[in-house]
Amino acid sequence: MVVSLLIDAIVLSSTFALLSFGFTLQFITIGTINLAQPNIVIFTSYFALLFCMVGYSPYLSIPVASLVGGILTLSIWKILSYMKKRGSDSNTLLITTLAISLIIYGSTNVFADYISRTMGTRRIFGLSIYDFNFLGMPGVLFFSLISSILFALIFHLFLKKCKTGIAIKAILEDQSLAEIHGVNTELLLNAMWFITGCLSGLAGVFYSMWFFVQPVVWILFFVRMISACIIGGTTKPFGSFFGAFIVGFSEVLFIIVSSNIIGPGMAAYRSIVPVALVCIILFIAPKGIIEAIEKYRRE
Amino acid sequence: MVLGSVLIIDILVFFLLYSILSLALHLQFGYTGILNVGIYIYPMIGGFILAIVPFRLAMIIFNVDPRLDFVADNPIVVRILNDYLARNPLTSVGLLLFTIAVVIIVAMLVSWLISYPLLRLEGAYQKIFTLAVAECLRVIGLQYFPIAGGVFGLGIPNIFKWLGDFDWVGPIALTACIFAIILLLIIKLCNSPFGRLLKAIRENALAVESLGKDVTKTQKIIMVFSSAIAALVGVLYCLIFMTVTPEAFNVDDFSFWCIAMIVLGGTGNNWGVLIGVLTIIILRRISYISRNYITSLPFDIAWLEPIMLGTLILLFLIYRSTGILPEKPTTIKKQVN
Amino acid sequence: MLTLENVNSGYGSSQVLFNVSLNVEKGSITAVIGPNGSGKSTLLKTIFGLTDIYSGSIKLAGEEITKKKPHEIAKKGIVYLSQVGNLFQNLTARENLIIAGYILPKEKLEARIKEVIQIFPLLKNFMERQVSMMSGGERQLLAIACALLKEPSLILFDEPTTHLSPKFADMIEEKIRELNSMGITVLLVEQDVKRAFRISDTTYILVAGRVYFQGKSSELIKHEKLNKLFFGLES
Repeated sequence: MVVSLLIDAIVLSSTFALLSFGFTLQFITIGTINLAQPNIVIFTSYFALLFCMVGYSPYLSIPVASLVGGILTLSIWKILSYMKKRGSDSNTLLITTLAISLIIYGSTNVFADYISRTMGTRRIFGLSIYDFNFLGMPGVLFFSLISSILFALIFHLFLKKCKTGIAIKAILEDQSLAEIHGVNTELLLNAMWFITGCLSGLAGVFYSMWFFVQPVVWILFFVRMISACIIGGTTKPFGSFFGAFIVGFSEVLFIIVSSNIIGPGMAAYRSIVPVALVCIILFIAPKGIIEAIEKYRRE
Repeated sequence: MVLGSVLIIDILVFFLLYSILSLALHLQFGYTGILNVGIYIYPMIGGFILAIVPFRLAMIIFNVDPRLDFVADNPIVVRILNDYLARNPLTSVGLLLFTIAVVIIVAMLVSWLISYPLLRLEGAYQKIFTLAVAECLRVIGLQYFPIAGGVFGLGIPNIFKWLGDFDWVGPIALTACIFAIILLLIIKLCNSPFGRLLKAIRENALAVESLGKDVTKTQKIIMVFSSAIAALVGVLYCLIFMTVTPEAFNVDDFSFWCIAMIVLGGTGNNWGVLIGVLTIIILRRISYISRNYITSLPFDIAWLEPIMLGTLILLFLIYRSTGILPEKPTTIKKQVN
Repeated sequence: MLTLENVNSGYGSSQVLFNVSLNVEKGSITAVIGPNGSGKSTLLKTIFGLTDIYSGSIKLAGEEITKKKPHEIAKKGIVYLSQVGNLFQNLTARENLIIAGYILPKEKLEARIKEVIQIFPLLKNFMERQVSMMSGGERQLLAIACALLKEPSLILFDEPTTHLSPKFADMIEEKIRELNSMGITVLLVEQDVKRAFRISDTTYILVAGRVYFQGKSSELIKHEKLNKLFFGLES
């Protein structure tokens, strides 16, 4: 039981680490929250289901899911940056993402319906039975953890050593100044958003290989993502990354402790944990953990 | 015709409910610029309190067998209470007023409590934190059976049973009254100096602050006031449909639709909001009815609704961001000595 | 070298510049002065492609650059030093230099950084320091060093000495003269009228988005009407 919950924690944390990282990058560049992103994650995870239904391994759906996620996310960025250029304020941009999230939500349901009616599956699905086993553990455990850590390491090195990486740091701080210096900000921002979309596709596939997915779960994704971002620091992508691990492991810890004290069935209340953590963090370290650590170092 | 009259009442009911909720949201958003996406927490609170408080109280008042549980034995208790309520108009009205009072107080309390962590967040995160809290409450409501019957929901007795054959008119009439009161209050508020202050805060909070006005306090007052109104909507909704279902209080129906109505109708214009409400409700009804005629698609046609709504909002934001009825410039009535 | 002909520009639907014509001679220092809100900063931004240009033409060494984007204009040898926010606060001095020389090939960039440090030896001490930890004067020096990296032919300075202590302001003025003696053309927006007349060859006076006066700085400073009207100086 505990082993199963540990796998829970690792897969959950790894997938949300990738999601929250991308989410924060989006937040920094557009100044508002992209309500549509969680819906994209769920939409792309249905590709994993599709691949399984036609007899392939769900891992093979990763390129497709990533590509679709990337294209959808890039489209959202194009719409948002167009509206920002026209002078829309942050409320309007937020409502724009809301509108797009409704469109994607409806589309996900259409997709889910279509698959379930033509292939005889259920709308709620989980693909753990299609996973392979390695050392007695499900493959997604290794894939998700290694992917997320590898991504973090590579991106960190990229930002430090590579000219383009420094350019991205520059864009994240001051887009117009980077533009003045000849950085092709449009290209790099397009690439950044595309990559966050690919991360969503990847994360969606991983999530569906351990947990159950249905369209309406987007809001649970959303709650976890924003909690991870607030805990880590809303303008610190690597903070959000670690925040996701804090959220994931806290959820599982809560289930273990509450099941022992109160009884089974407490797992259903797991989505309260991220929000409770946020409330605590907001009083201890309002700007997030990374900021608190930096402040401590300075003093 | 029977179908026609039912449709008109249907539209009227939803128009009244959504108008009240949208006006409350609009007070925050259109006037002070606070977009509270998580406003659906308040109708939820209203509904939950309605499920928890008045009828258990009624069971005590009417000496219903204490071995019966309001939730576990819901159908039986509802039948018994309906009987009693039909014969006790004063108690019914008393229970209703008491519930409304409790709902208003609790909603205001929750709004005040949430503002503490909320104000430590910045910008966009502030706007959606309430959504996260709302989802938590919804999860509790869905999982914890004794509140409102979990995923199945609860039936509730008709608190207007004493009206006899017209018991179905009662909740609708109450909704209409509350709608009228709220509309008058909000219009009066918005044409007053306080209303101009709110608009000023929306345009440039910093400038207003430097003029010596306490912006945070004003925003808090508005949030508390509109949260109470939103909570009432939850109560009215449940009274009309005679059921409390946690599932029903979701972000789509009680937040996103309202935002769509405001965007369509016109931000900053209360009459515009009402037009937005009416437009979207009629569109929804049309789409609902058309489901009976289009059956050959490989998916449930209901899912085209969010797609259509999202597209509509997007088009309005891009091509007509002022909405159907744009905001009127602020005028000050001449003082006649 | 740089010619503006009847340029009308602004931000969205707010027009700021009205039929502005300007000529910057190669190798000169040209100053633009005028009351606050006259559009001096907008003029520089317009040249650099950061505003909406409604009509008119901007030519650099005969080549039309009116419709070009900032990063394209940057490649033509123009550098724009804005009043604030010239540097990336969260990046180190070295990283700022790398971004400043973004359009240069790798080896050239490294060589240029070495050369620039020789012109500004003070920089050696804080290459790995974050800009947010540097003083105002140090930042301005770094900003100019960043500008130099691209071997620009024309530098647009937007009020470079405002907000600086007199010591650093004089140092910057000196550095501008040094850059000009190296062959770099300078277009300078200045708040300090005396400094503008002192340092420049030609001065343009911008009022409410229009060119009100133009002429040799040495002559303008003696112009009677001007002194009384604008600068409160009794001649």
